[in-house]
Amino acid sequence: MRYVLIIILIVSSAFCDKVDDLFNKGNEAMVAEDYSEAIKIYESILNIGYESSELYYNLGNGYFRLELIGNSIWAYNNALDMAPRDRDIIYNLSIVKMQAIDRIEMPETFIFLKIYRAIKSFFTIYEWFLLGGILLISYSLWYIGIKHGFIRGKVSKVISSLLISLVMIVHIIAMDRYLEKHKRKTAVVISNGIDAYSGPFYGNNSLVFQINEGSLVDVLNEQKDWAEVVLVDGKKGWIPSNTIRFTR
Amino acid sequence: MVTRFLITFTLVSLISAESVQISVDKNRLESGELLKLSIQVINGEDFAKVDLGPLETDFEIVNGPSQQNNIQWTNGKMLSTKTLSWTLLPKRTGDLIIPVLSGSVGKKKFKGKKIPIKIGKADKNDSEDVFVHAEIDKDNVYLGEQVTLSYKLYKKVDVNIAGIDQFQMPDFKGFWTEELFSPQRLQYQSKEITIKGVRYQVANLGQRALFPIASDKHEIPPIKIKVQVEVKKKKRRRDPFFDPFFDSFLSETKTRILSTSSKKINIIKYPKPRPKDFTGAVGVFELGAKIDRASVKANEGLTLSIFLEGTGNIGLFSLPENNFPDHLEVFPPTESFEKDAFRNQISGKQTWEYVLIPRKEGSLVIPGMQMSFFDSNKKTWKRIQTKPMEILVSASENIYLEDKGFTKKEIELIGKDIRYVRTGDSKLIDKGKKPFDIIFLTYFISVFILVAPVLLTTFTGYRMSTVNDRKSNNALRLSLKKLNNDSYVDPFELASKTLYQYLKDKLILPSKNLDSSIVKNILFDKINEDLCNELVDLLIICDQGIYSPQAINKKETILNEMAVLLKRIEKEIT
Repeated sequence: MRYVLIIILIVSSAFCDKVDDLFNKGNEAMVAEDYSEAIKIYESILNIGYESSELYYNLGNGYFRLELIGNSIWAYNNALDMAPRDRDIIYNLSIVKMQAIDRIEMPETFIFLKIYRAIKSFFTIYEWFLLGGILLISYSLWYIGIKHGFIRGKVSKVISSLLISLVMIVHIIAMDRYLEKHKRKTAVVISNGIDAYSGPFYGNNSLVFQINEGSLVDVLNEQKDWAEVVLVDGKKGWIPSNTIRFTR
Repeated sequence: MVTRFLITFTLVSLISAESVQISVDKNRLESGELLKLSIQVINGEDFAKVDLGPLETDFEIVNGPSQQNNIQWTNGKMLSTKTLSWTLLPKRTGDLIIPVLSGSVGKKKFKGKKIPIKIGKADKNDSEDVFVHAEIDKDNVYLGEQVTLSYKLYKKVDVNIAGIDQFQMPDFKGFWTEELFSPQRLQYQSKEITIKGVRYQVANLGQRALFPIASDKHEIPPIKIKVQVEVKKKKRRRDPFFDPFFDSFLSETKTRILSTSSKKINIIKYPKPRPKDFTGAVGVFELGAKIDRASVKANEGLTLSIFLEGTGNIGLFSLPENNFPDHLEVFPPTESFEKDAFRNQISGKQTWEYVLIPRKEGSLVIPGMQMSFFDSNKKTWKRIQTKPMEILVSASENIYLEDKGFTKKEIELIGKDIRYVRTGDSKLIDKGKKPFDIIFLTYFISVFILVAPVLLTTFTGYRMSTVNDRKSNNALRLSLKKLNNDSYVDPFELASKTLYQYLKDKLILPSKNLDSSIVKNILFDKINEDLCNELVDLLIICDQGIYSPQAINKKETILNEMAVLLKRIEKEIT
C-alpha cells in the first residue's frame, strides 16, 4: 500500500513537471511571437486538465495578438475568476473589451447591488470560504476567552457579536458565489455576426437579434447543436452552440 | 371632295318605341382622315353600353366617347335621343369594315350590323403639305451622353394651319429627360427650308435633352398630333362677285393626324479601362472645393463645400466616396442644384456641403476629392480633382467625448497595448482538485475550540475556571480591600454594601436587592446558626445606621467586625 502511494506521488509530480515544461514552452513561443503555436500548447495544458490564472492570462494575450477577441475575452474572464484582484488581468480585459463590436450596456442597477457585486467578486469562492473559516475560528477563541474570563469588559462582548455577524455574512456571500457559479452557466461568444433565433433551428423562426464575438452570455438551455442564451440586458435567443465557449 | 354620307341602320326595335342606331358620318375617306362613329338610343332610358374591342384591329380610337342628350317635341310627342360618339382613325388603307357591335341599353341587348368603309390613299402632294419630324442630333451615344431631340412641324409655305392640338411629349423609357424648349404657341422660324425644291416653314413643337440610363431598351416612341389644315374650296362658279378677296371666307378646315415613326438609339460601350472613381458622369466638368475657415477649435464645426460645374448629365451621378481623416466627424452632405439649358446643352452647378467637426487638436489635412468622367466630345476618360486643404485645429474648451461612444476612461486606453505575458511560476493546479480540505479544517478547529473545555473536564476531570469561578474565589479579597478604604463617609452603609457584594460574588447570585431577612434565608443552610444570627444582627445595626442605639459605640469598630465576620463566613462556605 505504501509503495502504491509512493508511485502515485512520483507519477503525479512527474506529470506536474511535464505540464510546467509545456507552460514554459508555450511562453517561449509567445516571446518568439509564434502566437498560434503558443495557443496550441496552452490549450493542450487545459486539455490535460491543468489550469491557472497565469495560463489563462497568457492564453488571453495569445488570442488577442491573433485578433481572436472572443477567445481572448473568454481566457481573461477565466483568469479573472481564478485571480480576481490581478491588476494585469483587469487591465488587459478592459483593453480587449474595447475591441469587441458589441457593447451591451448593463441595465442601471441599484447602487447597493453594485457595491455587493464588487465585494463579491473581490475574492474567489475558495477565498471567501477560507475567510469564513478563519473568522469562525477567531469567534470560537473569543467566545471561550469571554466565557472563561481571559477577556473581559463590555467592548469584548460587542466584538463578539460583530464577529458572529461577520461569520454569517461571509458565509452567505460565499454560498451566493458558489451557487452562482454552479447553477449559472456563462459563456463567451467567440464568432462574429451570429444571428439569434427565437427557436433552436433555422427556418421559420424569426431573427431576434445579432450578436458578435466577445459578448458574455448566460446559457439557459442546450439542445443538440443549439444553446439558448440571455444577454446581460435581458435579450433572449437561440444560437448555434459552437459559437460560444463556456467559462470555467 | 368628300361627300357627306350618312348611313343609318335602324335596328329592329326591341320594344316598339325604343330603337338603337349605329352610324358613321362618312364611309369614304382618305388615309389620315378621321371618322365619327355614333350610337344613338331613341326613346331609351339610358345610354348604350357597347364593347368596342372588335374595332381596334383596324381603327384607333382617337377621341371619345362624348355624350349627347337631346329631347324634341313634335306634335305633342316627345322624342329623346341619347348619343355616344367616338372619333376613329383608320389604321390602314383599303376596304375596311366596322364589325358587328353588340351591347345593351339598360337590360335589353342589341346587335348592330357591319358597316363597310373605304379608305383611299391620300393625295401624295397632300401628305407632303404638312408633316411632323422627330430630329435627334446623334443616334450612337454612350450611357449618360446627351441626345437632343426636337419635334418639328413642317408646312409648305402656302398651306395654312388653322389649329394644332396641344402637343404632348411621350414618355421616354430608358432616358432621363430634361426640358430644353416648350413653345407656348405655334411659332414658325423666320428661316425657310427647302426640301426637294419645295419651300417649307418650320415650327419647333418642343425640344428635350435625353440622357440614356441603364435600361434594356433605348427607343424614342412614335407620336401623333392632330392639326387642322385650311383647304380652299374649289370655286364652282367663276363669278365676278366672288373675288379672290373673299377666298378666306370660303375655305374650310380639314383635320389631319400627323405621326412620326419610332427611332432607336444605340448605346456604345465605354472604352476600357474604366476608372474606379467613375460614378456615371458624362460630359465636361470641373471640380472645386472650399472650406469656410482655415482654423477652428476642436469640436467646433466647419463647412466644406464641393462644387461641380459643367455640361453633361449633371445630377445623374454621385460624388465618389471620400476618405476623411479619423479624427474628423463628417455629417452627410446637403446637395443643392442649379441647372439650365444653354444652346441645347444641359449645364449647371451642383454643390455638396459637408459639416465637419474635428475632434482632435493639431493640424488636419482634408484630402483632395477626385472623380473621373467620360468626356463625350473627345471620347476619353478624364480625371478632375481638388487640392488637399489644411485646417489648423486649436484646443477646445469643451470636451464632448461622449459623442464618440467612448467613456473618458476608454479614451485613455485607446492605443495602449495589453500587458506582457507572464513567464514566471506556472502555478498550475489540477482542475479536478478542489482545495476545500483546508476550509473544512477551519470548521473543525472552530468546533474543537468550542467543545475543548467540556472535553477537558470529561476526560481529565480538570475544570477550567470560568468567569464566575474567578469572581467567587476573589470575593473575600475584594471585600476586605473595600473595607480598608476609609474614605467612605458612612461606615455602616459601607459594611452592609460590602457584605451584599461579597454574597453576590461568592454565591453567584443574580443582582437584586438584598436585605437582612433574604440573607438569612440564603445562608440558613450554608453556615451554622450562631454565625448566621450574628451576621443578621450586624446587618440590622448597619441598616439602622447612625440612628441605631449602638451607633456611637460601633462606629469605629463596625468595619473590623464585618471583616472578621466575612473571614468566618468564607471559611464556613468553602
